Amino acid sequence: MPKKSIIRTEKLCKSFSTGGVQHHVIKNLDTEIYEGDFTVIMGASGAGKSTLMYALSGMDKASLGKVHFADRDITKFTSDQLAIFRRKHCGFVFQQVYLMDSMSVMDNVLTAGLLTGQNKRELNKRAQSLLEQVGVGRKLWNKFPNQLSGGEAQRVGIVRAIINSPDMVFADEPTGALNSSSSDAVLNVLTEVNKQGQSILMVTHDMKSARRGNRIIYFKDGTIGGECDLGPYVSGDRARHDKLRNFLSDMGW
Amino acid sequence: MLGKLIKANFRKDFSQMISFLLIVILSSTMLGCGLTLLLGYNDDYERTLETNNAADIGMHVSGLKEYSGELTEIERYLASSPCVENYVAVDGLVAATSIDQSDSDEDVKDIVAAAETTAIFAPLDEDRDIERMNFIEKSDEEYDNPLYISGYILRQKYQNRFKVGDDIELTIGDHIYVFQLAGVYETIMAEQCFYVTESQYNDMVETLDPDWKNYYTLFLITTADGVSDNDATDEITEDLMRRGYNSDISTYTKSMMISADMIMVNVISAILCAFSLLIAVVVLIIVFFRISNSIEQNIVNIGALKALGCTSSQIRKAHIMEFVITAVAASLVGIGAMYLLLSPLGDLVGTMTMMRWDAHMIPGVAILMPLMFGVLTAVMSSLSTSKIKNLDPVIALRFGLQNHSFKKNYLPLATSGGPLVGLLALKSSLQSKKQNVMTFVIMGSVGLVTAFVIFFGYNICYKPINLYNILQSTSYDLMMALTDEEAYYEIANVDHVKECYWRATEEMTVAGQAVDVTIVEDLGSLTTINYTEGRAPLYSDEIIMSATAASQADVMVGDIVKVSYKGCDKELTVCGLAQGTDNLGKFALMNDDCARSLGFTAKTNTVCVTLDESNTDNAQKVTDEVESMYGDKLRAYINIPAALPQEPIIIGSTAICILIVVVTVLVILLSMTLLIKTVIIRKQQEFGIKKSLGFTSSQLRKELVLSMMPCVIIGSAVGSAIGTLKSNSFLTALLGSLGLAESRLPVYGWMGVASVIFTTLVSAIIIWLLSSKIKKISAYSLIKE
Ligand SMILES: Nc1ncnc2c1ncn2[C@@H]1O[C@H](COP(=O)(O)OP(=O)(O)OP(=O)(O)O)[C@@H](O)[C@H]1O
Ligand SMILES: [Mg+2]
Repeated sequence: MPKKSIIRTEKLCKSFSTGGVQHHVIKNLDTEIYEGDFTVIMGASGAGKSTLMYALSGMDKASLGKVHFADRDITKFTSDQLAIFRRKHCGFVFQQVYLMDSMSVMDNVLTAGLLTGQNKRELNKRAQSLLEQVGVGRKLWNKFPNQLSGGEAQRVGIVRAIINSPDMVFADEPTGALNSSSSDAVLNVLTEVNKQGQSILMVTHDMKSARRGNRIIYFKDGTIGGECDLGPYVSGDRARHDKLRNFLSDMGW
Repeated sequence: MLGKLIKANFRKDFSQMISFLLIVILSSTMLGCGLTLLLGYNDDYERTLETNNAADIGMHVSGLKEYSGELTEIERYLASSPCVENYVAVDGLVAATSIDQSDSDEDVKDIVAAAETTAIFAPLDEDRDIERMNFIEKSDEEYDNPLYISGYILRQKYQNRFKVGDDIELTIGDHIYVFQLAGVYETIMAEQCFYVTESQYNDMVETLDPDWKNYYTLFLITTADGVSDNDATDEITEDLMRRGYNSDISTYTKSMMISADMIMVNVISAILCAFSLLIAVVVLIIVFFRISNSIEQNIVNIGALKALGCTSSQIRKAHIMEFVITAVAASLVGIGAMYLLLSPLGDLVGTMTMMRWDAHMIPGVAILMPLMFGVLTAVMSSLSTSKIKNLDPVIALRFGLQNHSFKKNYLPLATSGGPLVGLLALKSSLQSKKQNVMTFVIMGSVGLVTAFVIFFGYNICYKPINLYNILQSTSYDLMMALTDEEAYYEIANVDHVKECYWRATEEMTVAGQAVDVTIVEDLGSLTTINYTEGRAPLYSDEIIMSATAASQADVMVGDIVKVSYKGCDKELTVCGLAQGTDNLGKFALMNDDCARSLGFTAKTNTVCVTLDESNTDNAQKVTDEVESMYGDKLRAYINIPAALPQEPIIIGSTAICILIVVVTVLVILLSMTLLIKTVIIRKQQEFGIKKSLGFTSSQLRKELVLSMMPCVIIGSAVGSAIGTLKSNSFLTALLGSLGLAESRLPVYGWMGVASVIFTTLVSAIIIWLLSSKIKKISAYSLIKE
């Protein structure tokens, strides 16, 4: 069965001008991101991974070309239309987590949910079960973000991103600021939600995180340098690990 | 190092510093004007009095020609009185003059339109030593018929429409005289004198019909050392009254003139100073909020600076200096702006008082103000930076400032109902205590001022008759001078006339004080007397005293006072007290039968009318009707509702009102700018996160406006309520020394409501406009930080 694509780009370009000098970060990119995938974008620092991700999500405007997201050309959207589009279709997980520190854990999650006008009772139930599921226990729900550990906060961040069951969760180095055991917990959560059908697009620097994906895209010189199909993640699968390492070394990582 | 830090701070806070600068400029300009007025005017006034060798007492004696023996006697009395040091007598003609309008079709009987004024024509005497001729302008040219008038008449009666050298055509009775304005002199005590040449004076004496003129002597008196002008006046009046002269004598004192002028000036300067200090308080609170926010925001940078080896005091100094430099610079600009405003301010004061005021910079004010603003800002900013002192660099770098932790989760979304944006706004409003206090203070002061301005504006600018009514012992809408003594019978039947009565005024001695006594047929039938106590006279031995005169003489309702008039003494019972600013509160009211028993026979040809509905049109209709009934027997009238807006006190008050409204809007604008910018910076990250979640800019802007509104509304409601409830007390305090015992201007609930609506609306609009900055914050900027 062929995979259904959620995001499709057409000659996508993104450039910045700094001091009058045009700097092309994405050049004529044609690619597709598929439903149900755990797609991982890798590449050298400064290659433009984040730029690509935020162009795909419509958080940032493309300079040229098109991005079709859920069958809509989001490059034509105004910023308000994009905001409204994001509510239902995108979830974001940031390296710095970015919970709203004036709100409790629960309210952080509910704010995102209420934005789409969901039924409050069902939303509450869903939020509670998701939080339980990622290991954020009831006693943390009324705490404020600065009372959480980094790993706990990031798991709350993930719940906030998936509360509306978006078409795609975008995660830019979600474990970048975490120690290894917290990282594992966060990655486990991502793997788990992916298994339940949530599509994920994640940028990462680190192989251990990348291994969680089933499709690895290597971004280089403003376009896709190569990609590798790893298949579904299985814990401790040596062959997958080697395949990824070979791919990356081919890419000059 | 310090220099670099300060520069860096300035660069970062540029736009907020501009707002801070502007608001300090505003405040210091107003404070400067207020202080200069307060200090400078008094000095200049003193100097004018000294230059002129001003008389302490002016005594008008009219009707002397018929009783010329009395003049010699009065002079002899003054020469021998121990109260009197010296005096000069200005002999002249008194006549009602108006500017000739024969070539215009306007109604020349309207006293205001005709710039009608009572003038004392006298030959110019430049050598006299009391109330010397102090010319502020004098032409050297030879004129056919030179005329010298006081600056007061030129400014207030003639609205500066003549310049030295211009022709002035004056109508006196059936004559028109053409003068050339040859000089303008400054005087406090003899403003009605119109000085002419000896030959012109003699010509007027001969040509003017006796109907239109009266012989007159103005005695300008200086009192002996240690005798106050008030005591001397009371004693002289009482002595002269006892002698039973037939001449009409009335007196006024220097201190009365001074206090009338000073009150106007003090009211203006008090309003300016109070208002500027209010702004200063608001701005200092904002400084405090601004700095503590900036510290919270930059805690990591501050930690880093400390880690690099900056001392706490260097970092603090950088913050403090940033604000102190701006405050001092702003107050210097404020002094400059004040310098430019001094001349219009002088003009404004000149149209309200006796003296033209050439306002000039007072060095003390120019030095004191930057110092004051500098010190206050330094104190406020060092208070708000004290946190830095105890900041551990490691803790700062790792955790930021811990006071940012939120203790209580207000309105958990799981259980609270309502629209999301509203809920979030309310949550954030409940959490921002410091911001709430600030908003409350700002809006409270703004609401207070606005409510007072609405009250003031309504009663003084929009319906000045209200102010007039409380300032007048007996008020009326229309006063008419007729040659028919019976006219008041018929005028009472004209449409729109509610009350109609004749009225006469005479100076008498009551309880040892020289007061102006108003005589009407029956005070009991008038509804327009401003009683503070008691009632109208029922018997011929009763009198109403002014509250001011009564308290000075320590007299209460029911007491018996001695009243003397031209040799006749009577004991009268005080049946009531009234308030009013006539003769600076020194007045009394009595019925005709009482006046007759004192030997005074009132003329009944001055008719006062109260209208069923007081407005210019009705007053005009009545006048027209009376004119059609009496023709030329109606000699002159004054339409109070039409004339009031041109009264100096009303013009001055209107100017103040407009100024305060403009300044209020500016204060809201600037303080809200500072506040909103600070709030937006503080919440920048949160806005970014919310945008990434899918909040639109307008949702976030709505949330911001809504989150500030509870405090805006509560603050403005509290301020407006206090302002509305206390408005009369405030006015009483301002006008108390004018003779106003208790201001009783109408206060309506809508004034408070209007104030709340106005301030809230203006704030909401300003916050909404300022919040457009949120549009520029993108979710994407989160990643770029
Ligand atoms: N707003 C911007 N203005 C100018 N240049 C930008 C902007 N955003 C990104 N760039 C440039 O685009 C290039 C790609 O940046 P991007 O953040 O996408 O890289 P990255 O692959 O995510 O790097 P890293 O792995 O370090 O996060 C960089 O050279 C960066 O300097
Ligand atoms: Mg990146």
